[in-house]
Amino acid sequence: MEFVIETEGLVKIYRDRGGETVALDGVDMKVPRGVLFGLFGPNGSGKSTLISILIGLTLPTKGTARVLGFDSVRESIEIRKRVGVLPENFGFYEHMSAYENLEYLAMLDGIPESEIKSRIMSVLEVVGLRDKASARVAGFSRGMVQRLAIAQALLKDPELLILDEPTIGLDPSGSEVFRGILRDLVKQGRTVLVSTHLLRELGYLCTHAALIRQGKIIAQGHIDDLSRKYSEVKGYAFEVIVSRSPEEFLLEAKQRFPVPEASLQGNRVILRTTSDLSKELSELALKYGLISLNMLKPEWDEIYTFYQGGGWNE
Amino acid sequence: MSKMWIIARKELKDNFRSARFWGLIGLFVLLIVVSSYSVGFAFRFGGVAPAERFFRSVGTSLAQSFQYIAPIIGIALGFGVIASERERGTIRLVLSRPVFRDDLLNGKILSGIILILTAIGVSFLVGIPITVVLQKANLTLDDLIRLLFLLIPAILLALTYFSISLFISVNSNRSGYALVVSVVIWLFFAFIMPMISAFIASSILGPPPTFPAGINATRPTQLPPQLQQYEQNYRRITGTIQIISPNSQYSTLASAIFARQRQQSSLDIGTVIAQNWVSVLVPVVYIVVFVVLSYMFFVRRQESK
Repeated sequence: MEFVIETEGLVKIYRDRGGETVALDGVDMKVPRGVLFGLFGPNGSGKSTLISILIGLTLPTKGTARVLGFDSVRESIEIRKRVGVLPENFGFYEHMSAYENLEYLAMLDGIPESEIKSRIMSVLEVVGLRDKASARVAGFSRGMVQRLAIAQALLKDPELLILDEPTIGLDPSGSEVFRGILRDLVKQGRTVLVSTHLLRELGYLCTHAALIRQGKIIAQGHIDDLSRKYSEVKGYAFEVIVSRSPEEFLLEAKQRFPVPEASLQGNRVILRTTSDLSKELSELALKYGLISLNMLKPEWDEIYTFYQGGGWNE
Repeated sequence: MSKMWIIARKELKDNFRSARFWGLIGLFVLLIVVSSYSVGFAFRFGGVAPAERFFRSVGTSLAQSFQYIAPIIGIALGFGVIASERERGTIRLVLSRPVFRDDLLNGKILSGIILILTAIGVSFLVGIPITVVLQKANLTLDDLIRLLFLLIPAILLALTYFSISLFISVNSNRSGYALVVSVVIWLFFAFIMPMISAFIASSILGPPPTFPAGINATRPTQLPPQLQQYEQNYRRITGTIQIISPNSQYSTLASAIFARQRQQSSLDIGTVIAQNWVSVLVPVVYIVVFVVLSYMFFVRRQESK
């Protein structure tokens, strides 16, 4: 598997008069090419520091990071030529229009002047702000600013996008628009690394993830592998919908299989089992007029809590 | 186009389009005109001949006006250079592109220099003709040359405060903080340091000798020798203490260009600078030191949050 981001033993210690703060403590992370990769962790877990190091805004105390094959310390300019970044706590020049902001940033990206206009209009189209090109950013809503931020990250047509807390401050409809943009970006074959502490917002969109806590990666890999491991320990959850006698189906399932938890909502039966019983349950449900059987994915905060071995610190 | 020039061009465009920048210049023009007029008014009452009026009114008041205008321009253009970019979060968007940190600082410094030259130049070019017309003064070629050379200490003073504010801005996350610190430094050099030096000189020299009987103390034609000696010592002490003050060095150089050379047929700027090299050196040292320090601190600093 080819990796676009690889870190090894990354350590970052901030020193000030108050003492030392260990922001990253030996981070080893690998991001495969062409995936939507979630970097999940609560506030202060080291996500933004890790991203700052990846793009060369911050120097690591120890360890190495390679992005698209370039060293983040010695070749950070090469990285920034190729990677679209939406940093945390960013801001635009509010007295300038959306177009003027993007024009300035495009020039700094080194995009040829002859291409700038078409590139700007095309990224504004992607984020649905084409008709707001000449409007001042000062008049933009939070959601529009966030979409403009995605647009600036797309200006150089990057193969890798790094988005730090991109959904902060977005209302539900804004989040939905943003998720749609993310899906499209991955469909185009780009790699997207997205960091967030809002696991429910973006967790289910990602195919791969790393969970970070107190500067350490506590788990990483394919989403299915992470949730499978959770289910192996915590059990599996199934949603079965039958057309006839759901009460009897539930009773029989409890008699035949180890089912520690079960509930009934109309003709919808929720069962929690200690092993993967999808085959057995579907055979049984056929007798009761099986409509559908789904293995329920655990929520991301449940998975996170499982891996960190403690409560979700929000 | 180089990254430095892209950044400088954006800064220039922002300022040339901003009402704040032109409002500041308008204020400076007003200050030049009003202060010249009020000083000229006083001279007219004092019976100063019209030929002398221009220099003694316009020259003096212009030098005084720039003593305030130059630091304000320097601070106004310097305090937000980096701090306001941090405050707004725009620095993170800029530095996440293939831009070296020194490119950003170079662009800001280049635009700062151009804006300072523009602000002082425009204030001068608009303020002087208005003043000349209002004062009904005869402007000779020598007068004009002296006025133009006044721009040297004025620009040096503005650049001194720009470099000090730049250094503070590089090390601040809040532009308001950078502004307050810069203004405090200016207040220190403009008002507090002269008071401290006067206090020290008075403490060392004691009270001035009393006027001998028979001399009109309010309008003496010539000071008695003991008072001249006292004044010389007083000036030497305050001058020594204020040697590090860019404001004091500006005044010295401006006075040399205007007042003291007036008796000569024409201005010899080479002689003026040779006789007052400390007044040129001090601001140059400030500018070099604070710009170098700004580079060192900015390039080493990491934008972590």
